[in-house]
Amino acid sequence: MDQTKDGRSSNVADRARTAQRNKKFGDSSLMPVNAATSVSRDVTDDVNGVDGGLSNESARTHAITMGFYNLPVDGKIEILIYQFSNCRWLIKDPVDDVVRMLVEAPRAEILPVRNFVFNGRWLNFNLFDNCAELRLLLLLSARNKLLQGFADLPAGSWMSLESDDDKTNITGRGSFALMLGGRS
Amino acid sequence: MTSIPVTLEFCDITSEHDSCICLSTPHAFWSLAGEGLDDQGFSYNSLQFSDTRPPCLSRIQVRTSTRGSVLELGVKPGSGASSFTLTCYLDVPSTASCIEGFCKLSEDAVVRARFGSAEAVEWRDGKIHGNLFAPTPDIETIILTCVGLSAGESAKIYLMGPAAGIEPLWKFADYRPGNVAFSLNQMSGQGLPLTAVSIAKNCIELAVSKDASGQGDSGFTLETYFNAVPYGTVVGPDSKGCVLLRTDYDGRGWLTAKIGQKLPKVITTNAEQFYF
Repeated sequence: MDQTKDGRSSNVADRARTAQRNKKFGDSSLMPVNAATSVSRDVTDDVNGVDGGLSNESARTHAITMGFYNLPVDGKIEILIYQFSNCRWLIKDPVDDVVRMLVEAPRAEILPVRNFVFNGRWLNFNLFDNCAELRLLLLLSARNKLLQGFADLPAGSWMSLESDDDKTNITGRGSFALMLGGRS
Repeated sequence: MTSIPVTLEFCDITSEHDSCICLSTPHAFWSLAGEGLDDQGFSYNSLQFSDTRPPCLSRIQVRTSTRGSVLELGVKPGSGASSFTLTCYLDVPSTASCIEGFCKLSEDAVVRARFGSAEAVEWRDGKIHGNLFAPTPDIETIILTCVGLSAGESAKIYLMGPAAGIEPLWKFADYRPGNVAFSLNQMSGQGLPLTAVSIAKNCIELAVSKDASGQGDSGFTLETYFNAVPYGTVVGPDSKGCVLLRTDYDGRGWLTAKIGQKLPKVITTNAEQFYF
């Protein structure tokens, strides 16, 4: 093993073992640095100021609904919005008489998720049950008319992403875009 | 406003009726995230490792009503009692020293609410109260979690600085009123399966009892502190600092560390960076 005097190691086998342990653990939130975290760090440089450049008066609030379908057992879901698209989730701002976040299993079934983590930049969770359905509602503040992001969904599952006036279906792994406030 | 990390441990929540926690303190709100990019933010059941079936919840909702900021939990009727954890933040005016409100819970249900690293307060159905304490700037909380260690196994966890000349030290107390100095808990509520806990300058060793058959599977946590004074200049603005952690344990179980409000992360036999 390549080990320095202070005990630090860069051994490849150890790293493989780490990956295997993370896989066994099955918990995306506990992985050392996942893809979403990396991306969120990268795009932070594009943010204009603390509020993500949203101090402009034209920022509007949109209710965004995500529906997840046909999710497999232990499937890992990861959703990230690109901050350079001048959108941010409303996570701290109190809005009277408005639901700021809703995680719901349709038809009052049990929530099929575990390790559900949402930190305002990215969202990920694991599933308990096969063919589970999950609905998630979040508020988004946006200065422009396009929400852009990245999704990583298990094979065979799909996600419905809906804004006030637009809807798109997402499968697999890759970028997505959603119109906000109509296609005018 | 100040964002205070909150851990809510719900115990024996029955599926008879929905539950809620409403804050009535003016300008106090449940919040979904902190300031840092890698902060844990809102989470559901990310701290329970031994679950084999999901809890009875069918809905989690955060909203602001005329009565205050409300965290609502819907249940599936007939699905039995269950326990789970939620993490979130509490946004309060900087001058606030406590919060008040009420809980709507079933008769036997308990919520253990923890603000920052303060001692947990127990809330039952009815009025609630919680004291808030300012964080200590030069001390960081670390929660070490061990799951799946077999009988007779032991694990050493080493704490190191991110650069030469920086040597973090375990610190076994945060001596402010209301704060937990050191705690060792088993997640399932059974007896601890440990036969020894040894603490050296930069190493903690946990040894599982030889007759602790299966008890280590459900996991146990050790919560303590380390001094964080020298690390402010090591990393960028997203984090206050960084330490390295590694373990000599290489069995079928796993160890994780959660520093401050950052996400828990697996400790491996490599020395890896843990930001706080």
